[in-house]
Amino acid sequence: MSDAALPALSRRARFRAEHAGTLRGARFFVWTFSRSPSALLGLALVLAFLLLAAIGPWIVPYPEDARGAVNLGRRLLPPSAAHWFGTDEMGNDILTRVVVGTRTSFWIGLTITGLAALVGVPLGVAAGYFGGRIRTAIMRVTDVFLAVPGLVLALAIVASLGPGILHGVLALTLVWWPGYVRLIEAKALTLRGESYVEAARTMGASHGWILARHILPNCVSPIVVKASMDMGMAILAAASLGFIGLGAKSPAPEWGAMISVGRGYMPDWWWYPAAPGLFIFLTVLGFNLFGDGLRDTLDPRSNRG
Amino acid sequence: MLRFLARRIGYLALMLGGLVLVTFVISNVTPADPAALAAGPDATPAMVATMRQEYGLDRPLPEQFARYVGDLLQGRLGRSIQTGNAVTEDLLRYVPASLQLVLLAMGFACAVGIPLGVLSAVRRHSLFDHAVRVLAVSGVALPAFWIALLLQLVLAVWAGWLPTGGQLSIAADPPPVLTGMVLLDSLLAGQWGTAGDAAAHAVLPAFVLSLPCLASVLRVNRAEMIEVLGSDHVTAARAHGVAPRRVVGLLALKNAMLPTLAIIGLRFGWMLGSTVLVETVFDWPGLGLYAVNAAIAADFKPVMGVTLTIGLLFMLANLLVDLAYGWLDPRTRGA
Amino acid sequence: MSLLEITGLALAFDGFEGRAHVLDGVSLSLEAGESVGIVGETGCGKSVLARSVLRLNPSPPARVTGGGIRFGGADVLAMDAAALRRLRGRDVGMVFQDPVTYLNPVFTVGRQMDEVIRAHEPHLSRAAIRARSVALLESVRLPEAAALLDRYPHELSGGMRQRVLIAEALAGNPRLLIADEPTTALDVTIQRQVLALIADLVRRLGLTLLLISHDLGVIGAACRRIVVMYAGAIVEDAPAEELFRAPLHPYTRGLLAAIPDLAHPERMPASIPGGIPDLRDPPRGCRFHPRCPLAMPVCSAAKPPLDPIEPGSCHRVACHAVARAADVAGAVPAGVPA
Repeated sequence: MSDAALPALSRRARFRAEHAGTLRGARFFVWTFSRSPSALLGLALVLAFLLLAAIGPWIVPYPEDARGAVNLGRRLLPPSAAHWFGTDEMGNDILTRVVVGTRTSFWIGLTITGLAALVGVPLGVAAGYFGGRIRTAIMRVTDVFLAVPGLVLALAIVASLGPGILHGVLALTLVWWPGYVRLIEAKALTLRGESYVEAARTMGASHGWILARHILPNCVSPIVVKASMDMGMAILAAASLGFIGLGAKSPAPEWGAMISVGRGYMPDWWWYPAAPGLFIFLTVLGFNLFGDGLRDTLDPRSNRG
Repeated sequence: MLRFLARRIGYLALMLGGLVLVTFVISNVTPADPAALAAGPDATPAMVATMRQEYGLDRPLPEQFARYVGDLLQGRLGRSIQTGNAVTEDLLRYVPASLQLVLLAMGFACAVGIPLGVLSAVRRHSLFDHAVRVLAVSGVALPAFWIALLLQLVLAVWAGWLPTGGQLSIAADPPPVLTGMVLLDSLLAGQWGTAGDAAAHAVLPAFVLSLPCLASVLRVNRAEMIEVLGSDHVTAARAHGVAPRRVVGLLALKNAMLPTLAIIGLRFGWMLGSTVLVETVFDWPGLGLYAVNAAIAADFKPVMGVTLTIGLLFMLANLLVDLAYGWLDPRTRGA
Repeated sequence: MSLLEITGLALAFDGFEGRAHVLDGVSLSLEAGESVGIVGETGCGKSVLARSVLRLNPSPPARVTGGGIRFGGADVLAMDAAALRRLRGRDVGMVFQDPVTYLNPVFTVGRQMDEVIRAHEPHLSRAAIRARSVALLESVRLPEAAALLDRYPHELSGGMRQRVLIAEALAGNPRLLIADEPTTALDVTIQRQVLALIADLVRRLGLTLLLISHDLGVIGAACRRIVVMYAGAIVEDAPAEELFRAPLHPYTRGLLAAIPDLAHPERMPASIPGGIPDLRDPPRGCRFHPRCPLAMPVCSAAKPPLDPIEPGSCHRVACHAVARAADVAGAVPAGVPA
């Protein structure tokens, strides 16, 4: 029987047979993930958020407000059919501003999380894998950064550098990277002790090869889980800085800054902070639920709050 | 045990040293000129130069650092441009206020979080459990400053049930300064009226502050309880006929408390950080508000002082957690 | 009236890839004073069966799908919480396999015994409870019992921990003692001691014993009657010496043939071909038939009933071939010298 007899069928069947393990793993993943209503809700929220970030500016009811048009004729209107969340002191539709702010928050979260992981993961791997003095040095520095609550350290850094979105992002990145070091160091340490790593070493495999083939692939799932949760928390932290007045500044459509401005108009024009806060909440909630769902699926035994 | 303690304190000192270095670096990367700021907006270049010399800002960095450390060891943290006081003086005044909030919040979070976590684990998959889980996830996701504003609006401004801010009403009789914590002091002094007023003022900020911790404690305790309840020794206890209430409330809970304790320690740190937000909304005269006002005014010394203080408090809390861990889990005592 | 009567018990576990039928209509009676051993390989359902007596299988995912359990005449499956608590510890005591995980690591031995004793005698004074704990520990031959009360489980050796577990199981003065693989996690030398201890306690206290193990040697040493389980069903149930002398079920014969012969070390022990079935989709009829040298067409159609080989005999076998009586002696599993 030649392979050419039924080429299409045998190729798919062969693929299935070769990757049976992975396919089963993927099916198990989807099954477990979809059994959790909260994980699905998280996924839905995250996708909605991503969608808004991507196409938000094109679907908003008042696109000119997105660019900070001034329309004093309709300033500080309460919520209505025309303006679901009311208008701000410049007459801009708050819903529009908040939706546009989604993109801002998204890139803030992505930058912070991405940079923090980019710095933290290699350091963590180095610490966990090589051990010894390298590990001591890296972990000491990490511990110093983790000794101060993040928001306070970020506050100090931004106070020094001056307010602004970029400084806020930089400050938060500096606050965030140690978390990845801690996480990956523990994982790399465990992995290094695995028998297959030892076997590879005795066979003469180089450090680089072991790192690439054994260590890093196994680090992916904790990184993914942490990154998912961090997206939400980073956005919240950035908004917090914005609220204090040290992050983004008006008229940038950043949620925290909007609440900060809105605070000045409370309690008479109380609806002002409602929308931005709600969006922050839903975004963080979405990423948290999603990250939780990922963790329960990928690594059901770990327990962290 | 003593050796363990000594080692941990040594490590703490090392961390504190590292933190001092970090704050020094932070203060020195500022693009703004601290001498110019200190001299004020109307200063002439000559005055700025004098300032620079006075603050030793023209000396090489290592020397500046040595000077910095020397000052710190003598308790000199500089002077606040805003308040005009020595930073140390300001810190001593504001620490008790923040501590009061944090302790109240922590107490509330544990008193509610631990039992709810246990109940939720026992009644898994029930409606109660789902509601509790929603609460747990929301608590962490809620922006503290937003919920603070909302509660302030609804409960204080509209309903008028609680005061909108501050530690005490202006009309209230202030208590003697014993610990610096207004609520505690008024209770100790027997000034019930003041105590009631202080309590009313503390309710909203403490509650808002407690939410993320409550949520975390709830989640971790629930998860740990679920795991412990499935463990072999719990099955054995059940097989021996031990009453369910004791199996859950004593035998299982003590096992679950260990990771819960760890999360409490971590959350303490978060809480300290969140004071920055909550105190701003409620005008609470604590470290957070002090730091925020200083930061906005580019007044560095107070910000660094607060950073060091909060860092120290956090480290001490972690030390306590470590000790408690050793006490709770006999297996770690040998280490 | 039998002390323990299990009739047609069927139990299933719901899992990721389907429902596993772990117990398939198990019927077993224990009279007071008997020492019965349940033997079978891992996964045959013996532990699940033992735990079912005290309803210790977590209820999702486990689910009783048929049959009943009666202890001293009372319906165990229908018991309310209070009755179940009385059953556990006071009527039936259970000893578990791995004392490392079955003892609470954050409480002292004394504190744990305290809880167990207090569960059944809540009105005893502290001193009385302590005295009782010491007495219990001494009855399981633990030296320096009083000092032991203040120790933590991780400070004890494996054998000592197992004795503590046995002492806890006996704290409520039960009538039936169920021992689920009590020696499996121990060193071989300790195994003998613990087994001897159990046998001695059973004799001295007049207990009924249900011993569970995958080790025929352990079962043979402590039990007068042996029950063989395979894939969730009982295949043979006979007095011990009769089972060893003349096993009837092909699986039992295969098990015995797999024991190495010390007198002839050069001979390879026989193995039973094939593997245990996937309980999510078990074979129809007799669950052993795919591996059975005596399999007949009826074996894949109908489950063989567990019947006495002769009316009035206490030797029961679940096998169509055996039931057809006649001359089975010639057809033994391959590899066994005739």
